Amino acid sequence: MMTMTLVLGIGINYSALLHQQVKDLLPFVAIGLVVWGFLNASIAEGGDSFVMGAAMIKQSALPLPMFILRTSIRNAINLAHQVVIIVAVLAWFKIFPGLPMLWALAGLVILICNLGWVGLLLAMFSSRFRDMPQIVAAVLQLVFFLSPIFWRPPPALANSLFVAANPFYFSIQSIREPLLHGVSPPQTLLFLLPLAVVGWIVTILVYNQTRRRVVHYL
Amino acid sequence: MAKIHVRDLWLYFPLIGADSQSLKRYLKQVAIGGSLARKGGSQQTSLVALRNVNLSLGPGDRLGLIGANGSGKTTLLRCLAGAYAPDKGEVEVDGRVASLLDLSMGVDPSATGLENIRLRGLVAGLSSKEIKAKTEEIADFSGLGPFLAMPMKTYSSGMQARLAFAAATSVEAEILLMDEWIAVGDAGFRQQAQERLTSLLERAHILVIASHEPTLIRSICNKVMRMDHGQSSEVVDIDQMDELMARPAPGSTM
Repeated sequence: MMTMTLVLGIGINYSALLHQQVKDLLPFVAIGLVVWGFLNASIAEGGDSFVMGAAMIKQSALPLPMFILRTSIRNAINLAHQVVIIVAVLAWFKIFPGLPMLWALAGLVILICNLGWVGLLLAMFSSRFRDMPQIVAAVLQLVFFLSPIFWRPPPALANSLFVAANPFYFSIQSIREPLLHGVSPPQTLLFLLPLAVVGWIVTILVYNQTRRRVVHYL
Repeated sequence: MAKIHVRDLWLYFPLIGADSQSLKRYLKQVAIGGSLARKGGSQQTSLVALRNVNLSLGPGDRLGLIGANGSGKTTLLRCLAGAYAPDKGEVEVDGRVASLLDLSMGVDPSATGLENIRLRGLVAGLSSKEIKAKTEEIADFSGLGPFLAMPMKTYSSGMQARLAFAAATSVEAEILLMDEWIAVGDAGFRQQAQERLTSLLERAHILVIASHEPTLIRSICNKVMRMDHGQSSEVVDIDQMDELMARPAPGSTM
């Protein structure tokens, strides 16, 4: 509901402000906001997973990644509900680029892979440093406004870091472009896939060091 | 075959003050150079929670843990439950463990009573099938009837305790870990609860219970061990409990 009102509000308002056609901007905004909502919640709640599960972690031998998995599944269910917004907007504006749309699924799978390690890494830091969730929330808010999520990057900005090498923007593009135009921008997946690999390696190394300490931090 | 084997177990707790739980403060400290003084051995202060604990239990053993507050009884139980990994030494626990350390573990206040029974079962490692089989019995014993379809947060604390107790004690465990004897509910329920707990105790192969109540330990345990400042005494027969309690604490000379 919240996302729906945001999509309509931003979509219609900005199309007037930026002199863009509603039928161009609204679908762009709708997909951007839905994917961002998933990404934002996964990172913010992922970081909180261990602190939330403290009672269970302190007295059972349940593996720590299970608590991240719990958060991921919850957010995936939420996303499944929000997908209705995308479907409705695409249907309304009669956007259907055919089979290549399935590239969006590849984008989604890689996004989930990336969110997994980010959540696990943040959860470990957040149990040690309790102000971490607030810092993360503030950073995410900043990223939301700086990244081209609900505005199209003008050509002048094409080389800026926030357009040319922004994993948040790339994640959204890897899902949005296939849905809107039936093409997956190659640079996004080529950037996100190695990021997932490197991210997981780093996270597993940190996890091996921190795993047994987490329970004492809680 | 149920078995507990603890050898030369050491466990440290890092001591983290409220100040050092802040990343902002931590970074500020680094920027100002406050860490210079600690450069030699930047060891974090830590507390020795368990010091060289040795313990070996087999089927039929009912061990009572005694000792002052903060002597490491609960910590040892949590080690046996697998929550704390040993810093040194070994903890070997064979058999299905049920820890009744905190009855409200894994309870979601906004989920209904029935959902919480399921959640609790999943946390305890039961399969969906096993949970289904037990749900009716748990619901029956809790005596909550139609309230089971309501969210847990609408329950009174007594009702919550009833459900938590019924769910926690429905497990078939070979090894039972308890922190103090559990007493819940009103007069009528208390009697039933005691019977249920006693029968659970009888079915378990090994019991480890921490308690400050000598009479309780005498009535349900056949072995006893005393903890002092994280150090354990040897495991002795229940007959020798008085002698064990009269001993001067081994840690008192430090």
